[in-house]
Amino acid sequence: MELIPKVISLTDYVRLPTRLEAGAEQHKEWHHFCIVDPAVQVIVNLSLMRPPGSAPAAGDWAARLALLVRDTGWDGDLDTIPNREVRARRGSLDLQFGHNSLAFRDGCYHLSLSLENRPITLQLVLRPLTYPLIRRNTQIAEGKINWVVVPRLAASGTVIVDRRVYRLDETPAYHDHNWGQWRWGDDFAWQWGFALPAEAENPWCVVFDRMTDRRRSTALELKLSLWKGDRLQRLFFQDEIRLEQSGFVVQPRLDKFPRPMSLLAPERTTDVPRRFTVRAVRGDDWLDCCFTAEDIAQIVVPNETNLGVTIINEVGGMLRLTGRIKGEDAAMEGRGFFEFLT
Amino acid sequence: MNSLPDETSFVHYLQDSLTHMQGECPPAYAQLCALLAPRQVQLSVDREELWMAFEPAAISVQSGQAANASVHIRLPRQVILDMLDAKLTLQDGILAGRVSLQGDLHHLTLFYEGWLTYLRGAVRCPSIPDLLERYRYVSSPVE
Repeated sequence: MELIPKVISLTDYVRLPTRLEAGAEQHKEWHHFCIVDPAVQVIVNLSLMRPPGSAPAAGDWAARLALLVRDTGWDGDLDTIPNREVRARRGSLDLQFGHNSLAFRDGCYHLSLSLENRPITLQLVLRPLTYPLIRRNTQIAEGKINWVVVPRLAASGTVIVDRRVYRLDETPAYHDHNWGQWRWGDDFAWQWGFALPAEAENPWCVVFDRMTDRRRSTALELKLSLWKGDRLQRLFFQDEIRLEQSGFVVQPRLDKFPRPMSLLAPERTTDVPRRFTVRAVRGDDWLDCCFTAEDIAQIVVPNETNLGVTIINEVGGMLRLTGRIKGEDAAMEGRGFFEFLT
Repeated sequence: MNSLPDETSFVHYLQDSLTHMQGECPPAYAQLCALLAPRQVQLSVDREELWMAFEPAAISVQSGQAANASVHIRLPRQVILDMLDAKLTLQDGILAGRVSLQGDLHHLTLFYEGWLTYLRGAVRCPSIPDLLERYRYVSSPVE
């Protein structure tokens, strides 16, 4: 086995807790993928958490598939899969959610997904192009979150949206895997994003993440990660990073998923910036990343701590990167997604 | 003519959803009672007439006409489905004349808070999606 798939198979496996671990009842875990073809962008999230209710049975997991697609506009849905149709095993990198599956074999991720109530299906093979970065035990309110990110993959296969068929061939894609223990509605928010170059020969790609309290006034974690080729080239942290934002995204229609949640969050405005700039400097190394938002879809999550909701703004847009790292110019312009929690 | 409500009528959906909410999301149920007791709300869904009575610790739903409703709401079944599918908000429905809400301002404000509280509870009840599916796909308008 080549080294990148081997490292992935040793790091990206399912972490479902045993009953003995502290915070097991608050365990959450998801595998997240984004595909950024110029004609169609896709967000996939396969998530597991303890089901709502006062006393779920041992071993019961609420499994959800989020599949959002952006081509002529946003479409998609969040499907809940009955526990009896879920196969997820600690230590494995295979998930079966009803008829939907994620498998890691032959050095690639294989996704086969189809929504229940929307005419969207996809069959994709995603070939990792970078080594993963692992980040453990980041504070998230009173809890902890862990992260494996494989920022750059090449996706091939088919995405079908209604009667529109997109055949992808080595399209830029992104993957991460989060797990940890926390409650939706706790005192946290995150801003996170990535961008990938359209040209395969451009070696640069970038991932940004910032964890804050819910008011976004105190940063618990702030990081900018730059890859060159298959390797992590530079990490910038905390005081090395400056953020600027300007304007707000205004759009006549704001799609929310799952759709019934739009009754609880009917607002048609957001505080998502139109332009979000990350500037990082350490010694002679510097990097400027300017993300320009194009449009937003919202995933609305019921809080566990109260009867309110947390809104995850999924923001599609373009990022321009310039800088100088280890004596070498870095430049990239490409499509990406950012998430802003409200 | 109203026929007798069958198990897929709106009155049954509402009764069942509140029963589930009482067990699966007690805080929302309690908040709903606290907000709207001791009031009655009259609903007309297509030609189905039903009313809700709010007491400090319980909510009842019955077919027919309330004796003393402080809020009257009238809407077609299709509007309920359109709202679930995010094709319409409550505000859109009112402005388009597809939803009629009647009552004094104080009671309408309380009703709106109650509506949001019901939704906040409903999205936290594992049983309610199946009830909604039954209402959506099995029920037909009461003629």
